[in-house]
Amino acid sequence: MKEITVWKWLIAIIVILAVFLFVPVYIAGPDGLEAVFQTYGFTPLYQIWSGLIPDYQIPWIANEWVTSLLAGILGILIVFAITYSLGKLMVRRK
Amino acid sequence: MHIPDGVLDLWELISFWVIVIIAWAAAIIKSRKTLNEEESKLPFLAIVTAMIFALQMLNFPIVGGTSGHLLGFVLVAILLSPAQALLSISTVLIIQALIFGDGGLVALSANVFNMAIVPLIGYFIYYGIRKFKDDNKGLYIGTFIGAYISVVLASLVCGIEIGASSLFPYPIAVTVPAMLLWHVFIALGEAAITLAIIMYLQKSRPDLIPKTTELKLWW
Repeated sequence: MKEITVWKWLIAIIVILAVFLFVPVYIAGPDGLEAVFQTYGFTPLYQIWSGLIPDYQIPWIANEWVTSLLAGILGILIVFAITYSLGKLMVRRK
Repeated sequence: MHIPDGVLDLWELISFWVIVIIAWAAAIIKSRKTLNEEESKLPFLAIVTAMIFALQMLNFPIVGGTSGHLLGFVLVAILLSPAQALLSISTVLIIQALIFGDGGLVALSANVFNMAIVPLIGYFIYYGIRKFKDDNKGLYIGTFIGAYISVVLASLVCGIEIGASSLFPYPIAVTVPAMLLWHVFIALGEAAITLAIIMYLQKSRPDLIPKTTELKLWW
């Protein structure tokens, strides 16, 4: 049970992301917490690290769909690889 | 609901780091056993985690120009187990903070607490409903209510943390209602998306959803 074909799932996830990101409304907009910060005119007092790809936008690609999608695909692959490797490490050490 | 750095007090964040590290250790020790039992579980855990990352990128619009996105804890907990959901959502949060600057680095402990520990209560509600009503209806009602409550509780706790912080100029009496105001709507999105995915899998791949007798309380 629970046998899955990994590449089929990966493709399905990327297709879903591509389709939804194509509708701009799914990219932008402050979330609930950011909306609260805006209402009360608050900005975080310090920032330690802004990330390698801040805000899921690759800096040198202007098209919002393309840049978000590429950042997303990169993220999906990294998350998959890291989870799988950490899992392998966990399982192997008995 | 990803809290950036520079919002919460250090004492809050350190307290959460202690809790989170203990929870991680417990989840790793126990999940190691579960994952060892069946080889096919690890690819599934990895793919579900990647799916959560993708779904968290998609902001659905709610009232008043604000948006929300899936949190996904209850979804992963239903498909795998609460402990694996803690590890899965934590992995997503770590990569979001490190690579995409989404959520603070020091504040990671608070984000893991809010989005990967507090939502446990939502899963327990799902668990109770399914034990009580052992059919598809129970599965769907449990999924919807569990997912809904998980986000409302996460935002409630997040509101308390921000209100209690000396860096944020308004008290809990302001921050909690402000957070809840948005998240009672965002939680509807969480519940609807989680339910849609569970319904789809129940129809196309029912083997991926644990039967009532196989439901896991922790690991």
